[in-house]
Amino acid sequence: MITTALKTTKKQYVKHKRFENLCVIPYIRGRLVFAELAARALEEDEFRRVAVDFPFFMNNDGLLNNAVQSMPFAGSLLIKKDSGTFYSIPFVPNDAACITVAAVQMLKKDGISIEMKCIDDSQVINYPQESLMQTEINITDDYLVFTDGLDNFFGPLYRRLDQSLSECSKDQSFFSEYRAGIVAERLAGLLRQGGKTLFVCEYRLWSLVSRILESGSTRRGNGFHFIWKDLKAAMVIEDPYRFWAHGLLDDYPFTVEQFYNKFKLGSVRLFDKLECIEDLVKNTCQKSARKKKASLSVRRLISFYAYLRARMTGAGHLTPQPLTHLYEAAYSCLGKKIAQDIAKEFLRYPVPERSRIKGYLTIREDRIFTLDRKFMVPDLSEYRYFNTGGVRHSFDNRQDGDYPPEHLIAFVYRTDPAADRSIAESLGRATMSWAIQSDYLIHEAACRHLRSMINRKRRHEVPQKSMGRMRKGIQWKKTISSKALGEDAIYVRMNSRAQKVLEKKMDEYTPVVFIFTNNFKNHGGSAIHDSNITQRKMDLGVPEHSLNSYPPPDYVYSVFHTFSRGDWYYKRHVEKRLLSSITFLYTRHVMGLQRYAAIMKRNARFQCRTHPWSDPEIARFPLQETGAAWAVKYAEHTVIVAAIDSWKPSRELKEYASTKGVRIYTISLSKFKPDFIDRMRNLYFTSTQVKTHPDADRIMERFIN
Amino acid sequence: MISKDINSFEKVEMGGKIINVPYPTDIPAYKFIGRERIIEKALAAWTCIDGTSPLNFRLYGPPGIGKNALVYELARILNKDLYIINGHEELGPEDIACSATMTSKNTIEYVASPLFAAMLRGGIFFFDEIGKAPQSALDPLASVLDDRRSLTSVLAGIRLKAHPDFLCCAALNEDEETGIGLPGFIDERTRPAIYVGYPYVSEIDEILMSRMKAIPDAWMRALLSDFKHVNLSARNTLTLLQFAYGLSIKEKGISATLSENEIKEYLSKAYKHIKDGDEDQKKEHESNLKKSSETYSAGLFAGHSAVENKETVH
Repeated sequence: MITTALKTTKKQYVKHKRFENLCVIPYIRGRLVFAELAARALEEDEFRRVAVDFPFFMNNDGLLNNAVQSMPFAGSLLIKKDSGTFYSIPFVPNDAACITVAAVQMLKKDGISIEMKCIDDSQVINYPQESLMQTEINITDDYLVFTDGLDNFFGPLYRRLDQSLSECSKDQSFFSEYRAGIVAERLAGLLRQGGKTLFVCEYRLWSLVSRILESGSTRRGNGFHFIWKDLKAAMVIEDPYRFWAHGLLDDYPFTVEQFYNKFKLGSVRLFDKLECIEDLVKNTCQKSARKKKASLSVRRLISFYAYLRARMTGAGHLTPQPLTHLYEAAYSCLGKKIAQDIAKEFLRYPVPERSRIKGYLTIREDRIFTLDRKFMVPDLSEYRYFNTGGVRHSFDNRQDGDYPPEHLIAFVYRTDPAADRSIAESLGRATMSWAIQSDYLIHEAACRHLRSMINRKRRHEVPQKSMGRMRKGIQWKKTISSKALGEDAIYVRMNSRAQKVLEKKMDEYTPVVFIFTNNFKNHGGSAIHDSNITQRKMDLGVPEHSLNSYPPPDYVYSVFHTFSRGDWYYKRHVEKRLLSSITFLYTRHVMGLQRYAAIMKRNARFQCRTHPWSDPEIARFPLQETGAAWAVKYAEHTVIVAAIDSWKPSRELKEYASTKGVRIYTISLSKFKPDFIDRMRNLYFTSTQVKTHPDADRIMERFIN
Repeated sequence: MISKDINSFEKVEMGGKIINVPYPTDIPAYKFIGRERIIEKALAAWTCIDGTSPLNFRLYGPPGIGKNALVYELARILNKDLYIINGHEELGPEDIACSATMTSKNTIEYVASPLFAAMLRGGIFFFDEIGKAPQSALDPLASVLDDRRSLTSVLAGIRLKAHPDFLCCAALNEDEETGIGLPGFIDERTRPAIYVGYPYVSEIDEILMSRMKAIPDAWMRALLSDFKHVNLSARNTLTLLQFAYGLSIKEKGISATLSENEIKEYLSKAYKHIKDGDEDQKKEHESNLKKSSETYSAGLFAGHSAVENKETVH
C-alpha cells in the first residue's frame, strides 16, 4: 500500500569490458539495498574470490572474525589519528562491504573454498581530511536500483561525479587517483589469477578504478610514499540509535535487523525492504488498535496511506523517509500514539549489555595487531567517516512546525541501558516523591477547557417559537428560515436551562473532579500537599536548627487521586501511576510555595489540612466518590465532575452536596480526546534527587512522552 | 479568477430558486515568507494520486502564528479562489450551507455560504477557527468532507455536488486541537492534522522587514537580539514592534534618534503589555510569595526552583 507493486530485479552486477571474470557491485556506504545485492550474489552464485574496498591492513582473519561475530550489533573500528581526531570504519549489516565479509566467513565455515581480500590502500586513514571526505553528491532513493538496474541508477551519479571531480582541488584529485591506482593494481593482480571474482566497491572509487582498468595501465604512476606512524585503534560497539541518527544504520534499524536475520538463515531472497516497512506499519497499527491505545478507523488509514504516498511521490521516493514521511504522516493522520509506536518499532535494534570496547589494536602499515594500551574513546559525534550517502536523522533538530513541542523526544536515548544504569546509580537511594510541573500544566488546561465549556453553555441562548411573548427579542435568523420553509412563525431568544443552572461564576478555585473508570477494585488513594517555606525546607532535608527563626511548618492539600498501580523506573527515582480519578481543589499549574500562597489567600474554610481518609466526613464515602465528596466539602458553590458516561453521583453524595449548598455539574469525559485522557491518566512523581538533578527535565521527558 | 465585489453576490439559479452566491475573499497582497515544509505538506494532502480524492487537512498551532497567511499562500500558489468561514459560538448549520434573508420587498432570498460558493465554483474553502464552532453547525460538513463531497441545504431544498477542483482545509488553535479536540466525525475527516509552530528568528526578521518598512532597522535588530529566545508569534511580534515604536513617537517625537538601550526599554515596556492575560495574576502571586518568604528565605536553597510539591502516600 505504501508503494504500488514494482517490477524488481534483485540479482545484478556491473561487468567490465576487459575482465570477463569480474563482477562488480558498486555501493553506497551504509545503504541496505546494496548490502542486499552483495549478500544475494554470494548466496546464489559461486565465486572463487571476493575483493572488498576495506584497507589492506584489515586482511586479518582475527579482526574480521571479531567484527563479523559482533554483528548485528552496530560496531566500528575506531582509529585514533595523531592529530587527535578519530576515524571510524563502521561494521554494520547494512554496509555492503561488511555483509560481504560476513558472507564469506559463513561460506568458509560451511567448507566452501573462497578467497577474500581487502584491497584498498592502508594509508587511506592517513590521507588529508579534505580528500577523505569525498565530493558530496545528492543521491535519490536507492531502492530504484531494483527497478532501474545498477547501471541506470549510477549512470547520472557518475556524470555528476565527473563534473565535480573536474572542480575539486589538486590535493583531492591527487589522492583520489593515487588510491584508485593502488586498488586497480591489486584488483588486476587478483583477476590475473583467474576464477570468477566479485568486487564490492564504493561507487565513487569504482568509477575511478574502472577507468584505470579500462586504460590497461594499472601500474602506479607516481612514487609517492607516506612516512608511517603506528596508530592506535579500538573495536567499539556503538549505540545503534546514535548510529542511526548519524545515517549509519540505514533508514530503519528494524529492517536492518530483519535483513540480518534472513541473511543468517541463508534466505536473503525472501527479504524486501519495502515489504518489511509495510509489515511494520500494518502490525504496529493493528497492535495499537488491539490494545485500544488509539482510535484507528478505516478512514484514517486511507488518509494516512494517501498522504504518505503523496509525500513520497512529491520527494521522488519509493521508500518512505523515516521521519519526514512515515513518522510525520502517521503523526498527522493516525495520531501521536500510533506515530510513537511506529517510531519505536522502526528504531528497534539489538543493544548489547556487555562493555562497549571489545579490544584495543595497533595499525602498523599493512598489519593490525592487539594492543594492551587503552585510550579514551570519545563520543560518536567526534568521529569522522567516509560520506555514507545516508540521511542524518534526529527528533531533536526539527524544522519549524514539524512536530509539536511535546514531540521533541529523544527516542534515540530511550533504550540505552548503559546510560540508564549510570544515571540511576549516580542518584543514590530515592527519597521523597515530588509531583512534576508538566502534569500540572495538563491538568490546568483540562480544567480551563471544562470551565470554558460551561461558560459557553451559560451564555447560550436557545431560539423558541413565540406564542406572544417576546422574551429577549426576536431571533431573526430562525424567524426568516421559518418563513422560507413555509412555517411562518416568529422565533424569540430565551435563556437555556444551563444558563439558569450555572448562574454562579467559576474560577480556578472551583474544584474539578475527573473520574476515568468505574472499576476501583484494589485501587489506592493519595493526596498531594503544598507547604510553606518551613515545611518545604524540612521536606528537602534542611537541618532543623537552621529553621529556628521560621514560622511554624504548615501545608495544605489541593490534589487527591486514586490509582490502580505504580510503575517504577530508575531504581525507584521515577514513578508513574495509572489514575482512576483525580480531584483538584485549586486548578492552576503553579506548585510548591506559589500554590500554597494562592490557597492561603482564600477563607480558611476552603483550605484543607486533613487528608481525605482521616476526615470522618469524607471517609464514609466509597473510594469512587471520595474525591467528589472531598471537592464538595471545600467548594464554594459548584463542583465540576468530568466522568465516564456511566458515572452518576450516589444519593449520599447528592444529599451531602445539598447540605453543603454545593451544585455538582457533570460533564462527559468523552468531550476530551482519548489521547488527552490517556496522558491525564498518567501521573508522575520523582525523587528529590531527580528533582534537583541538572538533567531533570531531560530525564523526565523520556518517561512522560 | 472571478471578479470580486465585496458588496454584492452573484445570482445563480438552482432548482428553480435564485441563490445569492458570495464572491471569493480578497487575499492580502503581502509577501509570504518561509514555511516551505508546511506548504509542501499541505500541497501533498491536496494531491490526488491514483484517483483518490484530495484530503481535507487542518492546520493547528498557537494563535497568530500565520495559519491564515499560509492558506492565502496556498491559494496564490494554486491560483485558486479562496472562501472563508470563521467559526464562532453562534454559528448554525444554515450558515455553513445556505441561509435566507428578507428583502426590502418583503420576500425571502437565499444566501449561499462561502462553502457553498467554493463547492460550486471549485475554489478553496477554508474553515478558520473550526474549534470554536458548535457541533450542530458542523453537521452539514460530514457529507462535504467524505467521498460524497456534497452539501445539502434543508432550507433551500438543494443538494450540491462539489466541483472536481474543490479543495478544503481548516485551522484551529493548539489548545483546541490537543484538549477537547474536534467532534469525532470532523476529526476523522480533516486529516492530516498539520502543526504550524513558531517561525525561525530569521523568518521573523524577514516578515518584519517586509511588513514594517517605516520602522528603522535599529528597532528590528534590538527586537531580534532581545527576544530571540521568547516564543513570539508573527502577529505578536508585529504588534510588539508597532506598539513600542508608537510609544517612542508619542513620548519623544518621530524625528528623535534613540540609543539602543532606549529602544530596548521601549520594547520591554511594550512586551509587558502584550504578554498573555495570566501574567498579571502570576505577578500578583509572585509578589505575595515574595512578601511572605523574604523574611525567611535568607539565601537558603538559592538556585532551587520554587515550584515543587511534596507528596504524601497514605
